[in-house]
Amino acid sequence: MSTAALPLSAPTVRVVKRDPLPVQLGLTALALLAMGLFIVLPLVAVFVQAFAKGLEGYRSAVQSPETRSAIYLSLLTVGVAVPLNTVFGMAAAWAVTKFQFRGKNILVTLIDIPFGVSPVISGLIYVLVFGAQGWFGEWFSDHDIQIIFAVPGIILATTFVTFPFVARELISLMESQGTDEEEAALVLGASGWQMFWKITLPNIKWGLLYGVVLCTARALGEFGAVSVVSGHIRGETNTLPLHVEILYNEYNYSGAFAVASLLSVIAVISLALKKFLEHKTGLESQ
Amino acid sequence: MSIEVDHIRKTYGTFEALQDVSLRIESGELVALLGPSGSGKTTLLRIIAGLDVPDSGTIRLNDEDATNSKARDRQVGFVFQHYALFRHLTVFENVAFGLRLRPKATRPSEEDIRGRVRKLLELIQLDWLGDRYPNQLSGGQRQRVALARALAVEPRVLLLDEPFGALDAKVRKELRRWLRRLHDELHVASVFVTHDQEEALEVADRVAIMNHGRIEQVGTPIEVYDNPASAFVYQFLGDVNLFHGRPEAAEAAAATIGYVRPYELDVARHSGATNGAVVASIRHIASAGPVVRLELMREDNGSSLDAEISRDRYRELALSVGDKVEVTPRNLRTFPSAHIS
Amino acid sequence: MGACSTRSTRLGNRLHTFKRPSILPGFWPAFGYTAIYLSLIVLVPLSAIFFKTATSSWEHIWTVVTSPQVVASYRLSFGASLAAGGVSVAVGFLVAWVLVRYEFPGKALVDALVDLPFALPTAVAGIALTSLYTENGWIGQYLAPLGIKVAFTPLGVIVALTFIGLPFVIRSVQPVLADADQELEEAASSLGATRWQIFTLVIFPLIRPALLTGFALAFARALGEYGSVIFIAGNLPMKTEITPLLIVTKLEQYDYAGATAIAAALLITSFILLLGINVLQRRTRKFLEPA
Repeated sequence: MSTAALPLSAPTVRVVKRDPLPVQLGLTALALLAMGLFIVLPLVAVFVQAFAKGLEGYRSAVQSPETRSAIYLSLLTVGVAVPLNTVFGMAAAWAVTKFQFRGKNILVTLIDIPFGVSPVISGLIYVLVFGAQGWFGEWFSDHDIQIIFAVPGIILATTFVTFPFVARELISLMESQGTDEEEAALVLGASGWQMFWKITLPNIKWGLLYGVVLCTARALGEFGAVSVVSGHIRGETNTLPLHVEILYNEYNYSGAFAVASLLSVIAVISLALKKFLEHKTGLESQ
Repeated sequence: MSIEVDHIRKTYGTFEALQDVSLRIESGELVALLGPSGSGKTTLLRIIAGLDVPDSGTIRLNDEDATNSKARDRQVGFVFQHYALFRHLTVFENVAFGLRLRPKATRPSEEDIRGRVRKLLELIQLDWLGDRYPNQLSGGQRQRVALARALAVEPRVLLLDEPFGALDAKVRKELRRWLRRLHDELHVASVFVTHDQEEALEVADRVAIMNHGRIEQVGTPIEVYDNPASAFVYQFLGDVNLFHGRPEAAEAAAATIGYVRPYELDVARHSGATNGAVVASIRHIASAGPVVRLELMREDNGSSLDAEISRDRYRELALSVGDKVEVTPRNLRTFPSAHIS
Repeated sequence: MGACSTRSTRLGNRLHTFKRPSILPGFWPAFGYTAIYLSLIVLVPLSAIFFKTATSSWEHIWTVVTSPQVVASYRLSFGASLAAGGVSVAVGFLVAWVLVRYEFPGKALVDALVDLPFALPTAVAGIALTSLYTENGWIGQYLAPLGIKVAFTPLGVIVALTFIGLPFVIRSVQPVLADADQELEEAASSLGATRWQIFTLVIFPLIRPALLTGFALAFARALGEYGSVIFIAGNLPMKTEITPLLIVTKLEQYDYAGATAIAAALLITSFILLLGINVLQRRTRKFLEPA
């Protein structure tokens, strides 16, 4: 009932000085040098090489019909894969974060699998399932439907590779938000849909967008998986990264870098968006 | 509107959160569910609100079976422990939320909604904060907005989960008095959950003390304080000293434990003769405040006792640390099979 | 009628032991959709690897996964991934340290650029790095006179994998380092520790799990990496062929069984690594949580 008072002696606190200035400057310079060498220089190289044959060369590379069809296919792929994974991400996050059920951790681990699989294997598995010798290959070829070495294969492989992005982002965000606000909405008379549209969705919108940005960037840039399933048919099954490879292997370096510069611009934009959205989602999870 | 819970059970896996709980709350009554964490009080509140589903038992609201009705149909106002304000809506829109949800046929006009929200904001004295977002408010302000939001839908019952738990001591005291006055104006049945016995005893008409998923005792603050039904209730409502038997009845010492509050101990200077009183020495004196607290050690068995005496008595006795005193319990209680858990 | 209702309550009970009852709507549609979509896109196709492997004889699989060309590729893939992981840890630690503890103009920009390797398509990174490190490239021209060849050698593979691995280490270490607040150092200092002792005895042990996690993540990613490596590697048989490339090569020769066997070996390695990372991250999180 009575607790003995603990003896508390005030510690003598010596204020720690930050690292000495020369150390700070030296380490900062080293770090900046490393960042410059490893990360910034390759980016700069892309743009410099892209204009190696002048503005005219750049324009003709970017505006060639093959580049255009690659852009079209890349956008088509993104247009299918990203919405699919977004809907999945919301469903998965809703089930995982708002309910208690057995095997939840296993489900979360399974969702992350595609991040641990080599891109090449991500393509291979669809070849095994839908390829000529695959499980469903015969059925599809009988019905004159081509999946592998065609657009559906590219979309499938891209969907696999970008599968966890939205789900993962939403799971961590919604986990931190809990279920209080949804419950409050229900007690105040909201229906399930009203709760979702008026409370849940507005609360996660920035996090959702963040996941979509990451997913889109990866979907546009995916190379290995798509390379395995595409068949490299010019003007038909070439996405932008595959087109870069073809131009490069044909020693059309400036052309390859010109197309690469398009992808790099998108990468830089997605980085900027990511930073902005990180700030916004930080506020959401408070 | 009355609330009645009847033989409610609820388990989470192997943990029994509520074991056969029954309670009736009349219209206009303010009842506190008091207990330590894990005693099931929040679970009971959530079951009344329809936020949790009981394994068995019945809930009646206004004497109608509401066990299977959904939370949205129960017309309860619920104030969450951490307020659960909608972070993307302004204070005004938070309060208006429940009204705006209604189907067109029963929804008040925009003008009416605005009028009602404004009135509620005035009631909670925050009409000047309507355009702010929840994260721009202090804890006490959020608390009041949560209450206004719950009241906007004109609930039949008002349920509050640890309504003052996250607030600092001063705001807490102000808000609970305000809640009492508000309740008196509203004429609804209100239930609030708390682990603070002072809060429960001060505000509530009746207090239900819960422990391990059971209601140990229900009664007015005076009843439960003066006539505690169990050792648990007694020790939960205030500081306690344990007396292991009496010196002259040594053979019974193992069986009986007496309970006495610190202010129910008479303290006198030790005269030398043993006249039935317990002899103890003073280990510490806390003399600041309205009463003087003495930390004592019994001479016979070395256990410690707390005593509270008035300042006058303290001055009269002129006590100092190390002095020997005689302690006589004025009001020793015993409970059958008394265990403090 | 009675039998029917008992059956339905029994089913209800079984569902209750699976999922705790909740008043929030939509669990079954959300869970069902998640399970079906996960199975269709990920689990079923992935299982094809193992079914396909199971259809060929163990002897054949063993011959494939231990053929000299394939073993040489393991050596390169593992060796280069380890080396790149090591470089990433050293450089990544330095960058994370500077980003967390020091102030300098343009810090936010540098911090944003850390993620560039995540955002830049691997093929773009591959050709860019190759152009930098060939004998007449911006960096290669200074290394060539020293007798150092990077492009089309294992060294080139390490460079590419470091580019890919660096952000993993930095992003693993940053939050832990930021969390190791000044109070801890002040406490150590008040107990009489020197600056070096504070670093070796207080800070380093605290971030060691994070460094290890970063290393493991970078390593796992490097093992499977394809796009950024194949351009700079040169793909000389027995010398600079990475394991993922061999899968593609076998596939182009329509040797599905061979490709699948190598893929299975790589996949199992990756999953073991992921399992280890999971354990590591749990340990790191333990450090992050306030006591």
